[in-house]
Amino acid sequence: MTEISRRGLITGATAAATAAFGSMLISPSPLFAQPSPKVAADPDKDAKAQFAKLSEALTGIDLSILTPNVDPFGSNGEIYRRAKEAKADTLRTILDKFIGSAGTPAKTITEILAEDKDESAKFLMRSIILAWYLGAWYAPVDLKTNSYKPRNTYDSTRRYSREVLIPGKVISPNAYTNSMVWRVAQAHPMGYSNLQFGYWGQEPPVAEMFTKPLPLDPPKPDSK
Amino acid sequence: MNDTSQKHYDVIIVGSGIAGGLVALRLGQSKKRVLVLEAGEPVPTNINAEMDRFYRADAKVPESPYTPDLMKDLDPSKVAAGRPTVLSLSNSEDWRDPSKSYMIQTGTLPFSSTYERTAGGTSVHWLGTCLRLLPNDFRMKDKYQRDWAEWPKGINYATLEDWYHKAEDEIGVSGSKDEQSYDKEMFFSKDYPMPAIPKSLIDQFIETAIRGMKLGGKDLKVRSTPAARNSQPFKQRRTCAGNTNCIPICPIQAKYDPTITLRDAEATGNVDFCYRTVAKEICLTENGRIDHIEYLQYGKDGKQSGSGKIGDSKTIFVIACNAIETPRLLRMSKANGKMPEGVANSSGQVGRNLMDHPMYVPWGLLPQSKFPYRGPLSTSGIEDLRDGEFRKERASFRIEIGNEGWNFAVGGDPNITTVDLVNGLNNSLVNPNYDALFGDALVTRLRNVLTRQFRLGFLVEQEPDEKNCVTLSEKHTDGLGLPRPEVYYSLSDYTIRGLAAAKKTADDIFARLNATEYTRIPDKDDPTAIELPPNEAGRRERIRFMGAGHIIGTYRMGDDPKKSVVNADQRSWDHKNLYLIGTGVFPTSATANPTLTLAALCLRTAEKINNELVKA
Repeated sequence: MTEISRRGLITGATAAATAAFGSMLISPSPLFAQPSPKVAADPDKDAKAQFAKLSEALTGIDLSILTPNVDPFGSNGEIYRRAKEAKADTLRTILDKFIGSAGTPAKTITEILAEDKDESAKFLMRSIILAWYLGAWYAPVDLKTNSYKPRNTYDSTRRYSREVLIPGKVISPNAYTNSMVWRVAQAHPMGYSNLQFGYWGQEPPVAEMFTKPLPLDPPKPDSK
Repeated sequence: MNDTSQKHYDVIIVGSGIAGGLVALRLGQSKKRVLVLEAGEPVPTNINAEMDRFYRADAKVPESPYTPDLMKDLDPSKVAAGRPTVLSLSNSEDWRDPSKSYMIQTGTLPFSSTYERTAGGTSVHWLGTCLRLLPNDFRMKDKYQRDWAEWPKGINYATLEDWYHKAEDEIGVSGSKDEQSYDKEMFFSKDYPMPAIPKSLIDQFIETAIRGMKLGGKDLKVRSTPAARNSQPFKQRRTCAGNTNCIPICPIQAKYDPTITLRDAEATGNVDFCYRTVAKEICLTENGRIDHIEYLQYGKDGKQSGSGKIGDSKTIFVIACNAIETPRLLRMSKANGKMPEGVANSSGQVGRNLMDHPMYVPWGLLPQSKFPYRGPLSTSGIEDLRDGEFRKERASFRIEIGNEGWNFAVGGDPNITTVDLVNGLNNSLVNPNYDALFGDALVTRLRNVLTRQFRLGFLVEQEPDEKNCVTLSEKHTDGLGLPRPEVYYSLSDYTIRGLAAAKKTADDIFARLNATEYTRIPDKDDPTAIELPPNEAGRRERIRFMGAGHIIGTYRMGDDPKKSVVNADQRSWDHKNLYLIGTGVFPTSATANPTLTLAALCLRTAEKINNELVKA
């Protein structure tokens, strides 16, 4: 966790203010005419856009929700980075196949899974889904170790208590508060509600409102 | 630390939880000079750091936002002010392991409730439930011939009624007296300070489904639970926004927590606080008054940084450390060997009769989506079975309705169910074919489960039992070298018959709801597994019990100094200037979440102490 001290924040703010004030003294031209500072181009920009499309197919959540125009959370970049750190080659292969395919996204994923001899794509894609849904990173290797044949298989009629718990690591507070499982539940992240007193006594909006794009033209009132 | 060494304090309080906080507030308001010693960290400037720790926590257990950060594998022998944690208790291998668990456990069953040692105490993460005790809860011997210790004659529903109001006004309770009037002897001289919290969709569904259902001659009814949660702006705090996070932390302090009282106490200008200050021994004068308290202090690094003594024989000392740490401190205080079983213990009752509300938590899927994970964690309960003739034979219970789906029932949903459906597992039991899904199929299937989840919680009265006892470990110490608490815990047959009745009632309610049950049956070797007595069909069932976080008993009040530790004013029988306050004074546990009764008793005691000081 990055520790930001109060002193550090104040110092930073002062430095920024001084810099702005200093530049005004040196240059009489209005601030808005200053050339904007050059931001280094993101070398992963295209890959991240491809990753967002892949994520849409994997999660079933609309692209406009995963990567909104105004995006205070930045989940796509964060999850892309975690996936790349975990298995860069596999991620590149998945993205190439996904972008190169002419089929529907769901069919393409099924094809990728069918060709995935060493199962590396399968478990990386599961990690990506869980990162979006839960804001936590479940390493592909942990998912692989605990799949297929759980050490303590359940018999659904006997209901044993032993669990096959896979350790997940929260990616960041933003990743948690922007995690998608709460949308599927038509709820809000526990500990992060923007709703109003008493909402829990009423039905939530319809499911699609949480996972699909908002209609540009809302249905008009009946004009009879 | 404030410069306390040269100052005379009228009152020194050990522990800054809700009990110590309320007494400090009232005495500060009456212009008495008060010092509070707190073993843990101060009240933070704001809760941002706590929220950050909560968001980052992989397991969002009650202790997750609070310090010290025990989510890391800390050795309890190295922690200055240690505490039991959910993670150290929930793992079946860890509960008896002193290298993992702060509390040394020697009982047949784990004591599975935890507490905090920080400013505000354990109620920093309480649910906020503010039920009153019922009139019969105070007279189990007279009414139901239970051979239990009795509450003092002066403490009963009628004498506490006004104090209940005062407590409800101080901490801010939302409720409806009409909904809470289900006991014919129970009366409310006025209504709650705020209107009741609205019922959730799950509450409403259960309310309709159980209409007309009778058990033991009683109609079951879903009632809005009185709670220290704002249904209106109250004392400069906001209205609840339904963050569904009362435990571990309300992000907007719409739920009362004791740090609010501590700020108010400090604002009187008459209350000083010493943090990271652990009381080590209560020391006596020759004539049996408390002379001073010896303490140890530690720094932010957790290492001991100092020691000292505070108080004089004219000071009134109030111990408010909870029902495990208070008997621990009393037993650590041996009056130079003259009292080997600890001060204030001529009755031999210090540490005995440790109680909780053993909780049976069944869970399942409703036939329709009723949308859990919305609203406060619990908004309603079924209270009608808290009292009845059956209490002669078996323990009673209340039923809490959860709004948080299977969140804690399965050990961390929605994560558990989501991982199941993505990685082809079946921990949640909703994925018997081990499907691994993605895309629209995942959304549809997961939504179908999550929006129908619900759980109940049966909080069972625990019979007091001398065997259940807090003593000191002879072998294990904490980071300051002080002996750690050793706990023996078990459940009596009377209590287990109450759990059996809870299981039967749960089955009946699930049938009424047409719900599909997913409650796990524990393995035989699960430490929290209970074998129930044979049911009507002659079958023995096994269930798992949980702790409710209600630590009760261990320095009970009474009218007989030989059988109780404190009197009705929570004053020690043995030492005139010593008060022991909190849920530790309850002779019996009843079925109400205990904090409101604690608050009522503490406000009453604060008035007694103030009168005593005024007279002096």
